[in-house]
Amino acid sequence: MGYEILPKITSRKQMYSELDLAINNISQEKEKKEEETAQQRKYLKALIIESNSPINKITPDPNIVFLPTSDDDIKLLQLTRKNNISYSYLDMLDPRFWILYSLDTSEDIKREVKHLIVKNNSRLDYAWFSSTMLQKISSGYSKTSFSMKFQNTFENENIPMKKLAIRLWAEDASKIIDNLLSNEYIGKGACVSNIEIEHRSRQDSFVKTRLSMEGSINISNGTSIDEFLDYQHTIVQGHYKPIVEQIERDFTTNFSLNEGFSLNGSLLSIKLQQKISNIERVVNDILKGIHPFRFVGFANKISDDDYLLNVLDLHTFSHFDLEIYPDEIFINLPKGSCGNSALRLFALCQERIDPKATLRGDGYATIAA
Amino acid sequence: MQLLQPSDHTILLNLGIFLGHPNDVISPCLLQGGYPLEELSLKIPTPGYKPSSPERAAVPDLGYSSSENNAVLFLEAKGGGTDANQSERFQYIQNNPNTLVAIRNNLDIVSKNLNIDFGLLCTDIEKIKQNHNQTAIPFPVIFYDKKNKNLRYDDFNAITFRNNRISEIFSSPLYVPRVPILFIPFGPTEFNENMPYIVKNILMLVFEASQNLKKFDRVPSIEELLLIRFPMLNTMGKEEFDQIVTITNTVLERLFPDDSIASKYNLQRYVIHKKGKVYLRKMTLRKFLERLESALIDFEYNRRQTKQVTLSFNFSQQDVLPIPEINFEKFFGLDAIDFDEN
Repeated sequence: MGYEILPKITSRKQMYSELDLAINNISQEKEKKEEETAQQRKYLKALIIESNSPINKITPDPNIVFLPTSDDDIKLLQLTRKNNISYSYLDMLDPRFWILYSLDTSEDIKREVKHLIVKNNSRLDYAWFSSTMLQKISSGYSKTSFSMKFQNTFENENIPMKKLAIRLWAEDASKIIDNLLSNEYIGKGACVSNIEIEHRSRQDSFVKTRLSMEGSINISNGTSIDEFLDYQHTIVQGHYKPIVEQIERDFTTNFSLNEGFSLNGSLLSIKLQQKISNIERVVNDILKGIHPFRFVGFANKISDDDYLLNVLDLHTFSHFDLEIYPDEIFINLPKGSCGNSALRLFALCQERIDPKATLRGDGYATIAA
Repeated sequence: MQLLQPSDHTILLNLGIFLGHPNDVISPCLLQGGYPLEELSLKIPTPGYKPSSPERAAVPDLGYSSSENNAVLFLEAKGGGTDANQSERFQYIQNNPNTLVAIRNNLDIVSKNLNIDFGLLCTDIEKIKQNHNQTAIPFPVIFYDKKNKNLRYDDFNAITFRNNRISEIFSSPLYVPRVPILFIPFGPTEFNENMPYIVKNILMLVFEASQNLKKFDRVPSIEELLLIRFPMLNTMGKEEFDQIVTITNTVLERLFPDDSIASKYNLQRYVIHKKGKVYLRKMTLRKFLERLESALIDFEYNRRQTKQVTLSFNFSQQDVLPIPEINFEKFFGLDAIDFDEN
């Protein structure tokens, strides 16, 4: 008998034990229902949420209630929909990067998380995994499936396609991905949007997970929660968090005042391989104040090839400046800004402007984002 | 969308930063030559200079230092001509290094054998040369040629840097593809040309500050916010600085009226979040900002007209002060969304 929803828990220990059962159950169910399509299966999901606020400051929609457990850093997220109640587990062991575990359908739980993040002044955000970051994280693993998605939202004439969507399964798709990325035509729109890999820290156990651009992880097969925790630790604590912290430490600027003043920190830049053909469109669209960019502000036209934007990030209501040229976007994040905002902009630039964009620091560093 | 023409001074300040700060826009030749940028707008009092004249500090725009050589380079950004009095003060400092040693700074210098260089960084070499006909320019001149996208030493006055290392650094033209103005988005000379742009920047600071406060906390004063984020404005004339503050306060008081002094400018009181959008004063935030920008541009137009009219009637400087109002009727009277703030 399988899980349809996760049961109530009261502690971290119990959470791990239930998640362990859920993973094992998925594997058994998978064997029984091989004929089912991927969309119909209920995978265990782990959604990474970047938080700049304690949970008690968050006002969720009325259909969501955060219930306490005996561990302060674990909450039960009770979701009511059409008189049905389901539970998901919110793990806040790292107060900056929460993990929400759920067996609800992808569509349902993602909708609720989107509401939580976007629809109120929550100071929450997705974790934004760019195409290059997904490739980096998955290097060294055999990739069993991947998707590419590119939307030429700003109608950049230098990209030869309006959109591109590819989903592919293989025993190991590594070489296929490399071929697509280096293809003269497809490569211009080859933006990896999710990658499924098989993670093994020991010979006798494994977990098969698919990590997507917005930081959701689908667990489609596996033997234990330990394997998943190991994988999740690798990507969040070992990869994503250090980059956010590096940005906040080294690539935010401020002035220290003395008899004069001195400048600390450096600019970030997004270098584009394909030039933007219509900057004004990009400028207007990214300042619409809606998901996914979530920026609003003032645009100032310096020349046809140079726009200076005073941006208000609706994630944390922090203010920063962008200067956009056809081949480069400079970001000046003031000290105290959220590094996640820069990663959001970068991931979306790869998805909508140029998949081959790179995030650079101060001339010596290409950031592993 | 506002058209923005940053002043040459602002462009040169940013260029000067790139020369001494890690980046991959412009080759940071001074940094690579051992002269990292250490100070901006360093105030160097010169008490021994013309003791009879009122005490004023020399404030070179950019200060670089080489601890290896115990040497300092100051560059002064010049959009236009030069100032003889300023040059004399710089020369005084150059010949009296103790003035520099005596003040707090980040230049990493020791008092003995300190080698001080001054130079001009300019965009209009012809103006500088013209000025040279009237007053000798006692410092080497580095010319940023926007048209040809390069930076080069111009030896029209046959003056080289005291420290050969710096002359070597500028011995061949440096390619400057562009100068982003993000480090110093506006300088102290910007106010007269780009007032709406500066006020927009300040309002962004207020938005940011007010969102991090509790409901009845007070947002720091405009002066405070400004000088933390844009310390270069500290060198601006007091009258202009006060005008910026007055204009911003006037705009904020009208846009976000509040009887309580304690809650002044706390925009949280006017912000609502609904259906994935942020509303400010019953308008979507985007709409609000668009309208604000348009009002500021109108306001600037009127301000200039007023200034011209009053000047043409020979009003004294004091009389030019009345500040025209933003058209708030137009601001709020249009199609503001009927939205219940409660």
